[in-house]
Amino acid sequence: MTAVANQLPKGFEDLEKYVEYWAKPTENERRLQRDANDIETIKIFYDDIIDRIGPALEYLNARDMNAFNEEETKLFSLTLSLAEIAPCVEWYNQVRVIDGVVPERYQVDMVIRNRLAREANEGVFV
Amino acid sequence: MSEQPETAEKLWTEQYPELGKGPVSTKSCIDPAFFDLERDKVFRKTWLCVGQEIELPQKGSFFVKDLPGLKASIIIVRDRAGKVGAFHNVCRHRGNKVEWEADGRCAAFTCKFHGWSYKLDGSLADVPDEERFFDFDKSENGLLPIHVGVWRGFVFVNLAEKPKETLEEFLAEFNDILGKYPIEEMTKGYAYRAELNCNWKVELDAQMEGYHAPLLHRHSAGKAFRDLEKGTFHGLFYKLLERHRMMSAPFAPHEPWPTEAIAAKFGASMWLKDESDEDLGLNPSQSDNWGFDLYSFFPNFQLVVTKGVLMVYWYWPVSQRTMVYEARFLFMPPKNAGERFAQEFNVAGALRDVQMEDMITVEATQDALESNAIEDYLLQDEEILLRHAYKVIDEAIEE
Repeated sequence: MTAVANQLPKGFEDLEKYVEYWAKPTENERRLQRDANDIETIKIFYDDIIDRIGPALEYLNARDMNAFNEEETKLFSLTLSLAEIAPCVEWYNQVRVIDGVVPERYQVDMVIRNRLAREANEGVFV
Repeated sequence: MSEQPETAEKLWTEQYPELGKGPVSTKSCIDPAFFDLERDKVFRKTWLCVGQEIELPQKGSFFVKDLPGLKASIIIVRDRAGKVGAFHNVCRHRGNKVEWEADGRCAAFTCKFHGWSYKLDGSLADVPDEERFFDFDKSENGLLPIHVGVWRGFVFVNLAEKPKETLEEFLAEFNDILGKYPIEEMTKGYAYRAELNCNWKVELDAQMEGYHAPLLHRHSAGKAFRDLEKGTFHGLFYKLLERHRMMSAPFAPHEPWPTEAIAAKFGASMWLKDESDEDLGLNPSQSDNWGFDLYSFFPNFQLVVTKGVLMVYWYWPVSQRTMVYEARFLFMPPKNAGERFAQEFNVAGALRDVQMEDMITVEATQDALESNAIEDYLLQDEEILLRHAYKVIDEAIEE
């Protein structure tokens, strides 16, 4: 992971190193990142972000989510990646569902997802 | 065993003596001949939900529902008058598929084969070199219409030439189920799809009972389903209607998972008790431990309702041993980043994984049923909805 400076709003410099890998704008991309990783790497990200989510969401809640700038957008995507990987750490201690079908068998329905997103004017946060 | 179960006086199955208590045959899940009957006498004769009005935001918006297992491809479109219409996706000329995109917005549907063009209301607008046809009347050769109706934002179609009942009559018993629940405003949606090697009923069965939840979901959300004292799941309320059926289910109080606690702070978690006392007309048994209400519409459509999220499930037959499962999770549009984070937790951080556990048993079950090692299910009281579902399918086929 290469850290590129100043990709996040001021005050969140400690999370810069996770931007490249985890600040993905769509659920499908975040899910693919989860599945492409190992549990040790996911845990490092989890441990670093779990206590930062509260401040991050408070910061973002003070702003209009439909008018986020690039830094705010990246911070928001990072928070959504925590939702994606939480079960790996809090439930399974592994990346994939225990005793479940593999992710390829239960796919995001991009046709419907995009159709609904268009209607809800979701912009990049799909 | 001589000891009476604690719930003996409340066994739901005993309130519906017509269901019986014996084993339920699973032949209808493996028999190709039964599948053909089911397609022709149930699915092609019944009101079927195919989507939502929000998929048709503007005049000219359309989507195509391909249902190969039912031998149908359907165009659903909002016409110039704003009305929702449904048509066979078949050119009246020589049967080519008229619309090849999954969705979009257009002013007319034009067949790629010879250029026949249809208006949004299905009427035939233009036929190249029309004068060389014989005894030809354009007004009689539009797209073939399919009966269509809308209920609380959900679009239903009926492939029968003359449906035996209106959509209102079909839904009458479920008409007031969702009270003041703001379905129409829940436009923020997540969507998933799975192609499964099992009969559509086998997957439906897995999502009509909570008996499995404490064990099958033990690695994930099991503690939210489990009665912590007994380690079992007992539904709060069951109601069987003529063809539809419902269950009201509890969630067990539990210490929130760390990310769930964050979701609850900034939005909501479906697994945690919501202290808001707003009466939405849910929770029919008025239980303090209410979790969700599951409404199973005949034959293949479900709504699962909690205060925060509306779950929408479809079970589409493809063959007697294959099916397509479609799911949507719908929310109110989030007002801020915190609410959106909570929604993402409910789906990507919880429900989606839980459903992947639900799916693990169904293909093995199909293989087992086909082996004829067993020919029936032994169903306990919490599986009463399965008993009802098999009975009403059999009755519809005998009609």
